[in-house]
Amino acid sequence: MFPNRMRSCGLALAALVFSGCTTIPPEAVVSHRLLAKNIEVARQNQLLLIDQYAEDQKENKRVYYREIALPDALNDKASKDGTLPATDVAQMVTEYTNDLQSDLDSIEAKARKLREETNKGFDALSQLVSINEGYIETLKVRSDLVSTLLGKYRQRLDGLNQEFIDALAPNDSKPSDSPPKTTEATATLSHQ
Amino acid sequence: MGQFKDRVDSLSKSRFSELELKELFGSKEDQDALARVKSVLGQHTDDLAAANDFIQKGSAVIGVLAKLARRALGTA
Repeated sequence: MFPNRMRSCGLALAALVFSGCTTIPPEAVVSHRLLAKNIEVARQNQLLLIDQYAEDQKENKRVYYREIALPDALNDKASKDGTLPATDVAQMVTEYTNDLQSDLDSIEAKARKLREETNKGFDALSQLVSINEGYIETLKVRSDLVSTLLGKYRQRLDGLNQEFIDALAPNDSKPSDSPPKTTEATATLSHQ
Repeated sequence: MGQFKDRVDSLSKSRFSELELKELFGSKEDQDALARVKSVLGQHTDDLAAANDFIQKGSAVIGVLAKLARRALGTA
């Protein structure tokens, strides 16, 4: 009776402990590493888009200024006044340069702002993934440790179970010279 | 602004200068949740790591428990 109770207790305990042990697959850690790596790729892509878009915008401005605004202004001036004195040309060149530079500066300022916002958001995203990755990694170490420990524990429990049965069996069935355990012996025990 | 800028603006208004990106973690809820996650998960990771060191010593504990169990049953 006693060994059976011990066995039941042992099995129940083992079942209880094992049921609480969920193995964390290595893929959970890999998944977070993939996220971390590719969030950086997404960040670089977005920064690249901003830079390229800004460069295109600047180039468009330069073309508009050079090919359209400048000839139009010169034509207007010449047709209105009939002449184009050097002092007027000098003043127009200054105005042209200032206007163009102002437009290019505002595009660059906008690009800088967009890059800052992008980096800020992606930094937060990266941090979040990194925290999750650290947690999952530590949890995986825990899961592996507990699995190993429970394996040893189960071996020890099985050994103990056998020891108790062996130790108590002779008292019940009085085997004269330690015969190997038989089904009759087990049956006798379970009836008590 | 000078006449050149006026001429160019009348031809083409840049959409780039009006571009607004959606903000990541822009809402108050997201920001609060992010701060909470950082704090709680960071603490739990530290606790787990400390506990893991302890668990590594578990094998010795199992040996002691087995001895105690044998002694209690008089089988040792």
